[in-house]
This record gives sequence, C-alpha cells and structure tokens, in this order.
Amino acid sequence: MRITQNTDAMKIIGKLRIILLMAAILFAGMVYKTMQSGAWRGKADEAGKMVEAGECFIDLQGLRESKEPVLLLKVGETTSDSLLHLLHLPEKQLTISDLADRVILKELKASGSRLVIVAAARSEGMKAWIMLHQLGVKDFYILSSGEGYDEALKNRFRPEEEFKPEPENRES
Amino acid sequence: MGPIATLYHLPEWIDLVFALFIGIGFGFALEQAGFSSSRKLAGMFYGYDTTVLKVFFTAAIVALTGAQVLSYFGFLDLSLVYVNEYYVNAAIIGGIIMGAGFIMGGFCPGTGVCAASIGKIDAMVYLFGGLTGAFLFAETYPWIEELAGKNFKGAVKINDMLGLSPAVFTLLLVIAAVCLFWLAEKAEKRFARKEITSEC
Amino acid sequence: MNPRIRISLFLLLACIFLIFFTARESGRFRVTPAYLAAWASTDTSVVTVDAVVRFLLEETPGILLVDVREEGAFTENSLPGAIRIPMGKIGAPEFRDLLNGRTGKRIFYSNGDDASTAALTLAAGLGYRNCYRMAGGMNAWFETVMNASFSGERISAKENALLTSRFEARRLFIRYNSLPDSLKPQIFAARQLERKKLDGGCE
Repeated sequence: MRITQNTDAMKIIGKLRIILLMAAILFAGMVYKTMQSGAWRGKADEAGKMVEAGECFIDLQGLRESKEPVLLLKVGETTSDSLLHLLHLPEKQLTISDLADRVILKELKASGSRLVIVAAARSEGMKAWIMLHQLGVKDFYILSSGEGYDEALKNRFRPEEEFKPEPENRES
Repeated sequence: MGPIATLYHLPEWIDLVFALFIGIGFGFALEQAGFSSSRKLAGMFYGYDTTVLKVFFTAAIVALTGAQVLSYFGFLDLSLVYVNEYYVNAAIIGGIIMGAGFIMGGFCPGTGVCAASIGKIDAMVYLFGGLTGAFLFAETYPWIEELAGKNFKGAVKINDMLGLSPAVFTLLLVIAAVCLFWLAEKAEKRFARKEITSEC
Repeated sequence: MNPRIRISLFLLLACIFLIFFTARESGRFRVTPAYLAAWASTDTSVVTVDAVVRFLLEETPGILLVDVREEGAFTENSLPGAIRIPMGKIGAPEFRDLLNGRTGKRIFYSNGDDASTAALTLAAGLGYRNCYRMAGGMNAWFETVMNASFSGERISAKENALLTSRFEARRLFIRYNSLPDSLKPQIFAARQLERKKLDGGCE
C-alpha cells in the first residue's frame, strides 16, 4: 500500500516536473534578489519616525552625561570643536562609502560603544545616520547643537489679512 | 508601461509596429480559441460553453501574476501602467448595454473584428451596429454627459479599496479563478446542448 | 493533466512566493548599500531656491513639492502647491506611486536641511527616482525670496531677471498662504485666467 502511494506521488511529481522546475527557478530568482538587498535590517518608516521625533540627535550635554562608552564617528570633513575635544573621546574617521563596507560595519556593531556621528554638515551626518540605522546599527546618534530634528524657522510669515479672493466673474 | 519609444528614446513609429504585432497576436489567439464562432460566445450566457470564461480568466490571472512578478524584479514599472478611471454609473449602464449586445449579437468588439476578418457576414453586421452605436454615443454625449460623469471614483485599484497588498489580491484572484473553472465545468455538463456543435 | 490546472498550480506557487518575499521586503531599502553610499557621497540631488522659483512661476509640469515638516508648520505656511508627507510615511505604499516616477521631479523641503536630507535619503534607499531636496529649506526661501531686495546703483540684466522672478514668487507665496485651505488648490487656475485676461485671449 505504501509503495503504491509513493509510486502515485512520484507519478504526480513526474507530471508536474516542468511546473516545479519553473517554480524552483522563480524561487531562486527571488532569493537572489532578496540577498542583493539583504544587508538592510531596518524599515524606512521606523527611521523616518525617529528622525521626526528627534530621537536621532544627541547634544554635548547628553554626551557628558552618557554612562556608556562613546565612540565618535567623524564622517567626511569635520571642523575641530574645542568643546568636543575637551571630552577626550575616542574617534574613528570614516567616509560615507566606508559605511557600506561589511568589515567596518561589523566592527561598529561589535564596538559595544554608543556611536556618535560628527560631520561638518548636518545633512552629511543625517545621510550617515539613515544608512547605519537601516544597516541595523543600534544606539547611535548625530551630534547636534541642541535645536532638535530640524532647524527652527527663522522667519515668521504673516498672511495678508486684507487679501480676499476675487469673486468669479461670470460673463454671459 | 509607457510607450516603448518614449522609454528607450526610439522613433514613435516603433510603437505602431509593436501595436501591429500585438494586434496580430491577439487576433490569432482569439481565432485559435474558437472565438470567431458566435455560438461559442453566446454559450457563455446559456452555460453550454464556458470557453470564454476559461480563456479570458486564464489570460487575466497569467497577466496579473506576470505583471506582479516582473514588477518585483524591476522589469516593469507598474506606476506607468495606465489604470482606467472608474465612473460607477457609466460602468453599470454601459455594462448592461454591452452585455445585452453581446448576448443578442454573439460577439464582443474584439471577437467581432476577429470573425469579420475571416469573412463572417454576421460579424460584419455586428461591427456596423457597434460603430453606429459609437457614433450615436458621440453625437448624444452632450445630453448624457452629466449622467456619464456621475459617481467618479478616479483610477482606483480593487486591492487598494480592499486594503490588500497586490500579491495577496493576486493570490485570491487565482483561487477565485480556479473555483470558477471548476464551476464552469459543472455548468457545461448541466446545460449541455448536443444539437449545437462548435464550428470554425 | 489539464494544462489549465498546471498553469493555475504554477500561478498559485508564484503568488505564494510573491506574498512571502514582498512582505519580507516591505518597507526596506531596495538598493544595495554600495549604491546608496555612492549616491550619498555626491550631492547632485539638490535644487536651489531659485530653481524652485522658476518651477513655480513657469508651472513646470511634473514638479511635486513635498513638505516633510510637522502639520502645524505646514498649515502656517507652505510653498504653493506643496503636499505634506510625514517623515514616517515616506516608505508607505500609499505614497509609493506619488514619490516614484520615471518623469518629473519630487522636491522635498523642510525648515532647513535636516529633515529634507533624511527624506531624500530614505527615498533614494527605497529606489525612488527623480527625488531632490531644496537646499536650505524654508529658511533659505525666506532669505532669498521673501527678503529679496536690491541695493546698489546698477543692476545687470541677469540680476534684474532674478529679482523680478523672486518678487513674483513672493507675491504668489503671500497670496497662496493668505487663502483659506479650501481655496489654495485653485490659485494656479486663477493665475492662468489672469494671464489670459492680460493677453486678451479667448476662453
């Protein structure tokens, strides 16, 4: 009975061999595509929400009060900050391209330190933060001057109160 | 998909060449499936021949799944694929008129052209009627414009309305198609008409 | 075995694979880390305030201005015709078709550079094409357009043209942000009507 059932199963598989082969090729293609972008661990929405809430920033005060060891990641060109220099924190110089390097990424994840990105331009620091967040790095921030997640609007706009939209002119 | 000539910076007449080959292929597929026979087409409504459902639904699920797979691999940009805009009133009324014409004439526009091309006089008459209807629609459009434009929903997709991902919707549609194929087989046995034979 | 059954079986398997892999990849970056790093190293996806002024005044088709600030800031004032997409929704499926396209430009802006850079980097990582950010954000807009002025004795033709367009953009910004929300979408239609009246054209 069991041998008959196995034979029947083999017959069905034989009939479906082309379908199974095509499905296997499709599956392999999808696995290959997933592996191409498989380095990413995070979700874009999570990163966006953290940026919106300002959770990606840390200021000098926060650095001083940090109980964990801190490693400064100097991304691209950086200006020398005397206040930061006074904290005597270990540093690592990187370029944006280095962040895609698996060996460097592994080192950063294994460092056991709180990582703080220092960049001359905050936009450069932001790019690095987004990349590292999506690559699965935890407990890391961008050094900020304390203004929050976006620069405050420096000008106030007052709408024209006298401005009224013109009534529609219907011409017969 | 945008016009191929636009995507790959080719001369515009290339699009017409592609349209010609696609048209020939479509006509060939219809004729090969036997859709130039009005009895076969009308059989869909009487239940004795459900080939129309099987062929068109198979084509739909293959096209849908193929589009999703191509989109997954990045070969097809679904945001460029045109989605027909949905006017509820016009879809319902137009569908009823289309269905009535289909049952009475035994053809739909595509199969009518296919049958006319092999010399069927009834298909030629049908197409003449269809073109007359289109002409009358155009001429009377100012009077029915308001009705035709009511209940406009935009270019909606069913999976968006149901809150499903495209892949899940595709799976559900394939399952629905398989169920319908099974029902179609049952219907053909139930409503079989031995006196009607399929003809070329 | 019936060919339709074989086809249906293959399609069922394909759908199951699609559900699994798309769910796994949903919301994740689609480009490779090396590609994103190379993109981030260059700064070509930036447009100036004057370029945005030109797009607005010429009503260039295909331009979408995307405000990524908080709702309060957007309601208070925004660039004419801009839509708001919260940072946490950049990768949401409902905005995918809007933000990703072969043609046109999607231009992110915020108060400064931080949030717009974050939004642009997310868009780049998700594989969205033709996305840019406005350098300097609303602060640069106020400085360049709203506070535009000329001091000096002589003005070159180029400077004159630049100032004229900035003044016109300023007028458009003031009118747009002085309107109630329900009337804002109609401002561009109103501008077209105005131009027709000035030209003496037929309706």
